[in-house]
Amino acid sequence: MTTLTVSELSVSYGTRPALRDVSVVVPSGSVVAVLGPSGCGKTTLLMALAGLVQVDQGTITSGSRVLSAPNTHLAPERRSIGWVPQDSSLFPHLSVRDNIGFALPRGARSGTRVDELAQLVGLSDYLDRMPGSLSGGQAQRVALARALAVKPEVVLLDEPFAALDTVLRHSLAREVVGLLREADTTTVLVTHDREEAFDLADIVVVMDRGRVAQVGTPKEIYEAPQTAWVASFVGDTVELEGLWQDTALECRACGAKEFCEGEPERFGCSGHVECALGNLAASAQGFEPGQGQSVRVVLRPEWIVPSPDGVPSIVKALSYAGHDALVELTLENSHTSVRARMAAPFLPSVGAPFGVAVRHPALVFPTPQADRWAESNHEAVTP
Amino acid sequence: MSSTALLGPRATTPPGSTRSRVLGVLAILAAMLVLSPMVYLAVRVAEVTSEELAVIILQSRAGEFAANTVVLGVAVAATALFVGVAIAVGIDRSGSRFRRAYLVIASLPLAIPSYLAAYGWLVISPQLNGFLPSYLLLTAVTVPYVVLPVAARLRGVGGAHEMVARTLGRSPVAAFVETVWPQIRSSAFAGAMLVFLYTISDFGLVAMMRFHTLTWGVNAAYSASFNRSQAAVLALLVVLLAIIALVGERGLRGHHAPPSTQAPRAPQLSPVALTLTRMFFWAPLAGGVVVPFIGLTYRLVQADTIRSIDWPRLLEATGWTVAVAVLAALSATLIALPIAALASRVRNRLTRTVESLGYLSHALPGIVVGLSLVFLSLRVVPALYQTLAILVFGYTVLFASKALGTTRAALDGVPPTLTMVARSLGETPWGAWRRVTLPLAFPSIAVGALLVMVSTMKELPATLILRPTGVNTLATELWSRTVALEYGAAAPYAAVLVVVAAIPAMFLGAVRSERGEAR
Amino acid sequence: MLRPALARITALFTFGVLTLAGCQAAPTDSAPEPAVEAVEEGSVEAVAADPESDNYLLVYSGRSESLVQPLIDQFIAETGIEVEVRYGNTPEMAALLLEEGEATQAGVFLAQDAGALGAISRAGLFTTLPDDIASAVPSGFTSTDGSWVGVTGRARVIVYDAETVTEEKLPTTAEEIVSPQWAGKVGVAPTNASFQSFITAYRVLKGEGAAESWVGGLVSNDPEIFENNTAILEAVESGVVPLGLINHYYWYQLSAERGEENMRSQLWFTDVGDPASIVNVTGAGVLTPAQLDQDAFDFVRYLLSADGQNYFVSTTYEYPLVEGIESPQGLPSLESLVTPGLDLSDLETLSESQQLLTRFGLL
Repeated sequence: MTTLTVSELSVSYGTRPALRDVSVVVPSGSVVAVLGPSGCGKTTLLMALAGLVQVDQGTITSGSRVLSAPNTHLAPERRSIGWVPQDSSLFPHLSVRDNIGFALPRGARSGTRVDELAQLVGLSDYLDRMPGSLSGGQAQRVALARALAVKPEVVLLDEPFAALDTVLRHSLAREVVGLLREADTTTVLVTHDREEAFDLADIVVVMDRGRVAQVGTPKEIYEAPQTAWVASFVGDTVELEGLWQDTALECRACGAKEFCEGEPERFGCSGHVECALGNLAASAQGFEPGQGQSVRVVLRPEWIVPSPDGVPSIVKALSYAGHDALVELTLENSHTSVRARMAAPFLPSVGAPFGVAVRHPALVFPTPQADRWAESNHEAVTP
Repeated sequence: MSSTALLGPRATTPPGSTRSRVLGVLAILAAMLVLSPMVYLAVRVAEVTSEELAVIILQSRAGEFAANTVVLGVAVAATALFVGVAIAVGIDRSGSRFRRAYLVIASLPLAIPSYLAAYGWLVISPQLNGFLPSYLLLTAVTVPYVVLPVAARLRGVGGAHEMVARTLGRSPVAAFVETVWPQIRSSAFAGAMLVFLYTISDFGLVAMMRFHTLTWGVNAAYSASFNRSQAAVLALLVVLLAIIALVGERGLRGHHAPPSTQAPRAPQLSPVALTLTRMFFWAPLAGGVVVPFIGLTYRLVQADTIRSIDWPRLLEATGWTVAVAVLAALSATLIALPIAALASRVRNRLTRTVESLGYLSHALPGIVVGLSLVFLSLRVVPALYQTLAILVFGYTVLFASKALGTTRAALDGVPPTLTMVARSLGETPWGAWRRVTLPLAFPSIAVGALLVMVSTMKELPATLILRPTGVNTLATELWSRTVALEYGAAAPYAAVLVVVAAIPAMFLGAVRSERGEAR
Repeated sequence: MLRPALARITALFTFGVLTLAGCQAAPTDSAPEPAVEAVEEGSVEAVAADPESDNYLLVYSGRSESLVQPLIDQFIAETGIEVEVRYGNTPEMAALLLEEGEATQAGVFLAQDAGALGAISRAGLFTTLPDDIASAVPSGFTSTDGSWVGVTGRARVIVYDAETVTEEKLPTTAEEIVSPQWAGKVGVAPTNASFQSFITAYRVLKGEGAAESWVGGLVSNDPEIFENNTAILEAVESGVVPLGLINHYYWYQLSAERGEENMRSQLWFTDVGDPASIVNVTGAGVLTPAQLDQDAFDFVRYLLSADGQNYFVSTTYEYPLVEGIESPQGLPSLESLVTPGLDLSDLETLSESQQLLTRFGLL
């Protein structure tokens, strides 16, 4: 099995760039989720992988075989890459059986392979139905079976579960990805739903406006985002202003001691930050702030925990979600608002006083102004 | 963002630009074939000296003919547009279970040749002549050209936008104009364009109604003075008018929006609107079908010489009529296919021009097409002269435009993702087209073929010139008897012609109503 | 849903159609080649050789099938020659022949008016007829150069609505037709060759100036313009217009169809010698590529034979042009109807008449 490598890929539609300098490595047999907001280019990436668009710069290779390059293009039908589009796109004039068997040679279309595949996706009784009579979930399963018919090396799923209701989405998603893993198929899954990406994928590629923002495991992406944007895209955040303290706190004195057990490397602590929630252990993401520099502090709501001798605050509001709640608090001294995620059912009531502390090193990013400066610099440098 | 929306209107052609080039070449070849009569026109017009040209344009009645043609063409097209849309909307929103039957009935005027309609009316009301009867009658027989595509389009439009507009305070009419009309506009204008081209090329009806258009002038030039050059100049004027109209229609057409797949049913019409649309529905039928029928029957009854029907002859003529109609339908559809495929796949000015050129020959008077093909075939393929092949080619030239519009719309209506999926499943571009696009587009392509069939069955002037000696269609048999004033003997041919032409006409209504535009 | 049914029906149709086409294609394909292959471009001189018969003839007829086919059938029965006829309107047949030029397969062109014959002759497509044919018809009713021969004659007449017009009121000369009392009441067909022949005759008999004032008078009288003689006749029959200028035999054709007692219109001839009652001729010629085809000449001879001429007299009520054959009953004798000395097929004078009509907006 081979690794799919995308290297410095750029694709434009006419003058409008859709992908810029995208590099991704998809290990054989893995499930990779491409996550990003609308318009970030994730569908374009998928189409480039499938061979349905031309590349302007960069390459796509499978093992040592070049699939796409500015001067080379292997036709889609020769790539052994299956594609399940967003709306399943079943051929309306063909039955389920004929849809599934579409890629098979004519003789094999009425054979056992189709039955096998139908059984795989649990639709053996539907073989003679027409696509118009299927529900959304059933149609997606047929589309998957169809893509798997000729045992492709890679399967591309374009927001395949977006049109389904929540209950069905979860179970179907797990089922589908499970099937693909069993078949040892490399899977690239495009989604805008972060929970889906984290749940299903081995590797997550976060994209923004045609560029790759970060690649990593779900945990890495969530807990160690490389930019503030990634941080806020992949999860809820609490943002504060802070001042960077260069000296590493004595671990003994650090408030997070019991969690990192005295090992600063564990959470990548590289200093402290002074902010409304106190003096926090912090790791600066991707830059080196100077002593006393204004920085942006980003926390996850679940890192803020009740603590009797913590920072005093008052509960302002509760966003109740059944299994947990986002508690909105106003810190008494600074009058800043923060949100903490707390597991149900023992939740504070509105107006109650509350002490909070932070149990995970804070993420520190450049301030928005500095960020913008860096971004525009970045633009100037990159063609 | 969905994959289809991302791609826009085929902004990125999947790789295979050689394929586009081959298609382009095929399409241009097809367009040139369809335009071949223009060669003849050019040759004949070139023979005209500039003084003669000045005389023709300034002194003869050419200016009057041109003005008459423009006024008639625009009036008929505009009225057919309005009435056709009203009928289509009425049928779509009548809430009736018999929608398909209504569409089938609405297609009936297509089966009536314009000359028969005029003749029938003149029997009943002989003093009819001039602009008004020509205008009304031509509208009656051409309305289906607008009704059919608009009705098909409405199936995919649904009522969501309109209902939103109503909640935002728009009156029913305003809501319709602002939300539904933009979606059906291109279909309506395409139909109106066919109506315009038909009107300016019609001879039989305007001759009988003594309304003198350019086409009438072309025929007069041949009859009066055997002046093929003058005829050619006048025919050229017709072509110029057609070009202007085609350019104008492209501007008016607007963007073709893909049909929405899940559209809630549109609201029913108010009783007033319903009554109005019902009137519009029955008027063309009454004027274009019923009254001519009465007139023809009266003439038949009056005839002192009702001869016994010569069955073998009648059957032979019927056989030929059907045969050439089927052949012409196949041929026209095949020729229109590359042009439509190109226009559908690559959206730029060049392909739009090629597509528009395909419509041009429809405007030519039948006699010009006939003589031009005599000219060309004798020089290029003399062995085929006066064979079925040239006759069928003549029909193809005349009517390919009717297949063109529906074929392109059919190809447009196939979502691009389907072909992309087919490619990802291992199909070559051609294989994907053959297994996915073509089957899905087939119903609408069939509609175009049916339209060509109906038109071919009714055609007369080109048939007279191009047919193999001894081959007669129902139209030519009908003609040869009326020329000899033998109306009694002509009547059976007229009747069979209408019945035979009504069959594909009714299929048109039925097929359209079922599939809507190709999904 | 409907698609399988549609496909099946189309398949059946096509099958049936192709079978029919196959059956029908045979006769046409087996037509033997005419005696002369396509003559070289430009050679219009008579070939010095005797014509031969190959038992096949193709006729282009501007006269309608129901009129002419029975006569042709008689010819076939008598001679055993296979005759194929292509029917059409005379002007279109002429245009077709002009387009085909020397590549035409036709042997004989049978035309409804002299103008068409003249056009073909002028293009050099008629071969000179042998003396026995050319002299069978008195000059004045035939071509001046022997390129075509007149076959029957048709008189210009006035047709009037007998229910609204009495005989005393009817014009006795052409001038009276354009007098004020007939304003808006006269139907003419200016594009029709026979009307144009009438104008030419008027010019020759009365002079250019008189002709011009006649046309001017007609136009200022607001005439009803029709497509052809048939349309005028229909109009008078239904009371649309009380007076019309047509050729006589159309009336007879219609009365045969409807029954003479049912005819509302009647015919009227102007005074002897008046241009409004001139005689037009129908005629035939042999096309140059068939100059060695004996069958072609035989056919034309047949038209001028007693059988042929009497056929026209009895069937179409047209005047026979060969001496010794009786004119149809009830019509003025041929001699009493004037023909000007001018060759009506002379295209130049014809075109001058057309220019006159164009100047007054009638063409």
